[in-house]
Amino acid sequence: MRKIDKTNILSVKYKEWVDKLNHDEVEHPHRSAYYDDVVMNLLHCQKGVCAYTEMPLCNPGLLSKKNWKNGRYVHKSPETIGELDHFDPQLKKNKYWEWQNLFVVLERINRRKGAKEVDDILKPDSLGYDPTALLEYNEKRNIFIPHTGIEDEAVRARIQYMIDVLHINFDFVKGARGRFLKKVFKSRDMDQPVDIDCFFTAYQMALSAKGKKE
Amino acid sequence: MKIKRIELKGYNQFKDLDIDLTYPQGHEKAGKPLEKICIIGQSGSGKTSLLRLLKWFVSLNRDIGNNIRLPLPPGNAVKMDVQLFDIHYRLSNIEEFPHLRFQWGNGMEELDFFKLVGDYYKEMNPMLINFPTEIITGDNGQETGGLDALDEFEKIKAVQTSPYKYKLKPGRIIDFAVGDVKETWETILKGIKEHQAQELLMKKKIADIELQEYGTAEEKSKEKKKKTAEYKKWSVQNPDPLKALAEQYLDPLLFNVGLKVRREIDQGMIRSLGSIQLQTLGGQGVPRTFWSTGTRRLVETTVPLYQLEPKNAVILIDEPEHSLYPDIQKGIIETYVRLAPGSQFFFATHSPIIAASFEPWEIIELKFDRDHEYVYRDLHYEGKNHVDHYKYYPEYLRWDSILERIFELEEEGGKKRLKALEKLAEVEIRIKKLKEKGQLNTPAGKKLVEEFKVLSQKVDWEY
Repeated sequence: MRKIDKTNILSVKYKEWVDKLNHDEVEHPHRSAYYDDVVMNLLHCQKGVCAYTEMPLCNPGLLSKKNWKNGRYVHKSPETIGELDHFDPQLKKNKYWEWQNLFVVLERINRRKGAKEVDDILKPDSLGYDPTALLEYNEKRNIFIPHTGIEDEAVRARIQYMIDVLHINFDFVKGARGRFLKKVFKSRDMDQPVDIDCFFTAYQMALSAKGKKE
Repeated sequence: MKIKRIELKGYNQFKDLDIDLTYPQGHEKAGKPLEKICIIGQSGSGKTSLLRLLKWFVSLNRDIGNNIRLPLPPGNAVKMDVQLFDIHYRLSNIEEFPHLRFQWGNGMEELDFFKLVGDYYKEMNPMLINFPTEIITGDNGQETGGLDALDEFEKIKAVQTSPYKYKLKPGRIIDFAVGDVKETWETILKGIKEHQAQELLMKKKIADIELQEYGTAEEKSKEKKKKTAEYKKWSVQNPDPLKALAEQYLDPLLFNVGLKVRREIDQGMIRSLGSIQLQTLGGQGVPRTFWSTGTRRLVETTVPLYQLEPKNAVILIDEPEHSLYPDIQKGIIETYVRLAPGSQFFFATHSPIIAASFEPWEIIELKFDRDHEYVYRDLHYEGKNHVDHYKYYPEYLRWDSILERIFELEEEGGKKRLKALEKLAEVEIRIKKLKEKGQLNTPAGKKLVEEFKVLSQKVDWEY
């Protein structure tokens, strides 16, 4: 789960709208005409993958900047298998459209994450978030664990809790990740070109563990 | 008789279900009706309902409107289309009657439609066979339902005197979901019973020669030889109907449970003539009361298919895996299909092993929408329906892959397994690091290795 930079605002109209709501201290409505603008802008920032599991969510062509005009997302069929997730469900009631609290995630993950309490320690866009310091990847088993260099058991427990909440090691995710990396490393072994368009963090960590360079 | 397409619009959870039941492009039978179909889907998604609808449709039962009532507001159109091999007909609600009626479209007169169907049925002589999850045999203590077979036959007879002579003839609808099917079973087992009775009679005549009070030993011997020759000739001219059934179909499956069909008959079996007898592989008879549920299921499905010799039937089998151990499930679909060549099978299943017997285009997955309000067909191909566009090929997958990819089971095991896997992944990384530092032989290292071994065995991990 890599760090996500959400500073590139393409859906300007949405941002103006939500900033005004916040400025006026108005409770956010739960419905908005800006849903697609938000989802596609987030996906643009997330490189088209689930913010937590890094499973692919849409055709990369949908994320081209050409699809934004006058601050709105204009592509007619923004098809994605992702859904809007409110990282901290507590904020959903009053700050439904708060940019910093939103991510696009796989529908099945969103459903399972539900309204569980969260810990910012694994919030992908938080300032100090560094996956390489917090997580380690067992590339043979395709499982993320709290970094073994962290000795404080309380911190390890916080990380493990969020691994569970965000379902990073969920079986179908683990299976898809394992198959993808196996295919990628097999292609590399056969000097075939590889296209890494998902599971970025696991790939980088597996690469490091194998002592290879990108 | 085969079904090519089913369209259900507005019936129960099927708001807009359109199922193409033909082979895809690129297939040698492209455009022709599928010969076997596997319906999968969550509990409650409507698999059994779909089989029930098919039963009503295929039997062209005019009572369908009395059995499927739709309390719909006027104007809320309901269409249920079924396209048989070359006949297309539809049921739809008429505003005055909030239930279904046949509708024959495009200007065709009612009588012309039924004449067309009647001629088709006369020529094709189709059959409908329905095996529900619980097969009723009339002797297994099940309660009789509201509709029973005799009622059905009576209705059919009544209809035959009416202008609507299109219905399947009595005996051509074999429904093991209805209460009293003794008559049906007697018909099915008649051939076996007659053969057994004749064989028993001839054997008795041979045996009786020894008991005769008259005649010399030489005469008795001569008479015995004559009768034995007659018996052998009769046996050649009248092959035992159980022989092929046992050797080609039932015994290979029963072998998995240490049983086979008993074919030798003797005087002690006089009361059980016409029934299928089983014995252990060692020859010990196994009374029917001791058959397992799975064994009963095997016999109760294969015997009718074998005896009825359906060649142009629609055969509905709900949960073919019911009570069957996995190794028997592997071969059951292939056995059914061999028993009724030229027929169209509809199976509804929850078993990945059953699903592995099907080509990808034969799988119909019923799925709830996100809000769990309606059911749609989840397509397993992208773009056009072409053999090359399918994502998964069940016949080539492992059972667990089928569970994950086709049944979309999200977990590979229980919660304890996931926790153990995470712990094991951590232990493995710690061992690797200690090894790199040359500290694996320390007490801490040895403890970790021991922990790894124990956990690995529990989760069945390869080292």
